Amino acid sequence: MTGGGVDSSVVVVGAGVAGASTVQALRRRGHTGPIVVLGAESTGPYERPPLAKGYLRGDEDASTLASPTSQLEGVAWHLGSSVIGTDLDAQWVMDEHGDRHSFDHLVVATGATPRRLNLPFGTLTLRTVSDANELKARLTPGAQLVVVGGGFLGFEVAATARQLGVEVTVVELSSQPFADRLGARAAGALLALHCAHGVRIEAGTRVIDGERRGDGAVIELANGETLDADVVLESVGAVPDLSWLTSAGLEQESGLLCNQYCEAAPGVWAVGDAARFWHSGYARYVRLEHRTNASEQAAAVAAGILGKRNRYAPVPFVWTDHYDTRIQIAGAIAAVGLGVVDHHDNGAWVETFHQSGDLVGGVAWRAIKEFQSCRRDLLARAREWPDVDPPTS
Amino acid sequence: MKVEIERERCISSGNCVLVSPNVFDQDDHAIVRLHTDTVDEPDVASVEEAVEGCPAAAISIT
Repeated sequence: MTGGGVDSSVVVVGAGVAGASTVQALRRRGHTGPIVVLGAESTGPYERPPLAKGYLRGDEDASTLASPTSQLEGVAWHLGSSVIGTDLDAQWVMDEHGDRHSFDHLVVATGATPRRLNLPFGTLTLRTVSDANELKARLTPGAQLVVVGGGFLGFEVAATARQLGVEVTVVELSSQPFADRLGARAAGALLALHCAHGVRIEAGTRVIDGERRGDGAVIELANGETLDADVVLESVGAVPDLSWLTSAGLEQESGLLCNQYCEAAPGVWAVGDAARFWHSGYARYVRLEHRTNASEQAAAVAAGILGKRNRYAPVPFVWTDHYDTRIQIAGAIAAVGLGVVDHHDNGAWVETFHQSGDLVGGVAWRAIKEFQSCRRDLLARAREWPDVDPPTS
Repeated sequence: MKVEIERERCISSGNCVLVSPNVFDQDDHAIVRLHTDTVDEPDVASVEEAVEGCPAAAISIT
């Protein structure tokens, strides 16, 4: 078993907010050992959620996205330096320049990369600040944007594009976009909001063919429609970036499988979008691609490295912004059925979902403050969750 | 104890209001603002929790 001393050496692979938050939590909790952070991107840690919103709209620039963690003392940041392999027994990782970095503890924080559909024409994705710059340059007033994949990211970009005067069509495979994430009521309200802002929504269909035309494309859908696009964004989810770990023999199942302490093997920890961890309250493995999870899980991993392992069983919390509307989601949302709605001023409302009489989740529509009591109730409930151990294989 | 916030760093998670509603508040855009910058004993522990739980490290205490 690897030691949990404050002077242990830590290598963090991934310089996004999950990795950076781990570094920050380690230092805050008294860790004094050497820390090396290896990041594939040439920039230091930064906030990704604004890339689809304020940054894309031009309200925010790169300096407001940057995380202050890059200024922490005694941390060696190797940016623009992907990790290509590791030997867990010998306790080192190798970067693309062939340099080895030894560790007592390894933190896997490589995040995820956009899934691609291999469409027969050029498409953009949105994950990095450089992706956002490329997209931004193409979103000129009057341009026609087709968004393939109508999840949070795709529709957030749709909203921003409308604000920039761009014509937008969203193509989504599900006939009920958002229903599994928001419940039927908020999903319906969100789609209506986008329709009211002039977004064309082609739901329950998919791209079956198309070809490049100029810088854009002509796109054929399974429902018989044809779309002209000046720019196409693919937003069909992201795949954990773990290829560098393939040789390590650790279990992967769209995410590095780890226990309730976020530990994949002794001294090997996973945090953020790359981690599929055992949630002892929900009694299942989960992977949470949420901004808040990145930093909360980072705190749990830092505690674990310092020998104070605690079960990590968060109440998931995420929000999404469209035009002037914020939707917040906490806990587990029923994919079908409706919850109990509390109406507030100015069209705001909070819907709560129950199972066997117990509160399990909530959705808030333009109800930022009103949602706090629901979040508090969910956290109180979570304190009564049973601690279910992961299955042994 | 004094509490300081960096509003431009705030990512609007509302975690601080969640744990320490006497001290922290959010504006209409969910960005943090303070009810007070002076924290008395009953709220000290919750403000420390807010510092720890801020995903953007936008809160500091002196």
